[in-house]
Amino acid sequence: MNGSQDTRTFRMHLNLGPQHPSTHGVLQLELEMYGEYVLGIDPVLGYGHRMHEKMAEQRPWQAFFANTPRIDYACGLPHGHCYALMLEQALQIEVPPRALALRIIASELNRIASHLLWVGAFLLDLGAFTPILYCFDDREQAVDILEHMTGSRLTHPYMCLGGVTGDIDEETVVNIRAFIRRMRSRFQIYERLVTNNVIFIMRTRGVGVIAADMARAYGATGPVLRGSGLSCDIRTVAPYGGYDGYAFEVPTGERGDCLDRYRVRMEEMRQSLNIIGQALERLPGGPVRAEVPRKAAPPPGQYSCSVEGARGDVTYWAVSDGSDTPYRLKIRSPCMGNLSLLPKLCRGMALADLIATLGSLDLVIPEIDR
Amino acid sequence: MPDTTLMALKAAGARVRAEGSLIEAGVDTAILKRCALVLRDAGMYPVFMTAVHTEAGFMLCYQFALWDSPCRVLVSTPAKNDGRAVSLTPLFPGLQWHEREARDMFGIIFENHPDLRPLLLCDEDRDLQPLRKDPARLKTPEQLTRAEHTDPDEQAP
Repeated sequence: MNGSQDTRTFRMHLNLGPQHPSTHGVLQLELEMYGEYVLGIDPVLGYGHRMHEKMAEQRPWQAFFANTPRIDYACGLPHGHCYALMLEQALQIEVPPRALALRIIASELNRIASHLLWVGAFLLDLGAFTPILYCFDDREQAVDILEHMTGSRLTHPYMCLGGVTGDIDEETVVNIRAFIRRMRSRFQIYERLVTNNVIFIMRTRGVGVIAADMARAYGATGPVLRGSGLSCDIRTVAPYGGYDGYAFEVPTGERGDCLDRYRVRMEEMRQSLNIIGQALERLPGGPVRAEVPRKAAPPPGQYSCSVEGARGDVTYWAVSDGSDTPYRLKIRSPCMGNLSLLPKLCRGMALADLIATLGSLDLVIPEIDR
Repeated sequence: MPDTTLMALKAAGARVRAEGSLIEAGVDTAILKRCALVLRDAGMYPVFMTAVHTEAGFMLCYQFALWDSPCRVLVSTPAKNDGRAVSLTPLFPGLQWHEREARDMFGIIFENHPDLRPLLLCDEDRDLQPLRKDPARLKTPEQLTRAEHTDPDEQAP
């Protein structure tokens, strides 16, 4: 942190956050401070800008699958899921039931891994160092399974047109079952270590309260919107890719503060475990990929698909001119809506509360930059 | 989506075409704000705003969704001839950054926008406009519209 200070008025200009592109997260905030209180902020974005939308216009439809997990490094599978569903809808491809189930298992494992990363990083932001060690221990198990399934630990190239790139074997099923059992027992540790921790509660309760109307006007989605009490989850509101066959609950908060957003994400992990359990329970046999044309060329028109990512509404919208490359592809990243309300929300907030609020939004900046 | 909202959209002058839960609405620049007001009153949240570069100029595309029912509205409207457009930020503050991004990527100027500084590009690249297409690769709005679709939602400005 560095800044200039006017000692007579206590007004300061403060740069918060890293500037170098190699630092993780890379959100730089320019703060206007009055002593310890925030008068206004200006998020500086674009360090992770890779112009994925332009890349899409210059390669065949199918080749963009390689880009999808790289847009959001913490939870990339829903991006691939969304792109696959949009393309399959455009080309009218029927996906085999086993592929649908595998997609859901992989997406939910990815969601859990992403939420675990968030819990650790959020508590680190609040000054608690220990929980991230537990979170990474658990996340490691999920990432190991995903590595076995998809062949990669971070940017999982799993979704493809007409299904998934690989089947799972009996060993993976056993590992996933073991992971579910392990995670269920681990929640008690988190409850004792974090959820009921008085310091944690005091740092988060009543802090960064987002009213439901405000969240909606800014297009905030995912756990941020649910934390404010609106039970908006695309998996239940507009089920896609077979989610309508699963029973799970959509947790919501009451006050819309940081504590509610934390609780929502913790409960979501439990629900994701339920979904994975159900999917394994009735995992259909058969192929994992449909017969697809070698060259995908959707008929002219516009296509849209939305899925629930770990951070909210992931929407892909494409315009086709009938050729084998997209004419225009728009990627809607949930983080952009979630971050865009911060400049209004943070006015008058203490600096330490701003850090808590920022952490509670679960931002992946390269996803905003795309 | 409640039928009353659909009726209100039609009454405002939008050319509406529903396909399942997806509603495509083609509107003229003059009635864009009126239609956006209808969608805001229906309780919709802004999903995104972007543009498509065609031979006939820029097509502005908005998507709105309901948080509690499976309904999405795709609004498309042509930008004005000089590449300017009406800002919907006063109605949906969530569109502010999307409009800034459209300024970055296409160079569209939004009237009454509170802050049109570059969002994703750096200051030196503010006139790069990377998503504008090479004139040789531009398509007409008709080439980008579904064949059986008799009422094109993409209209020459």
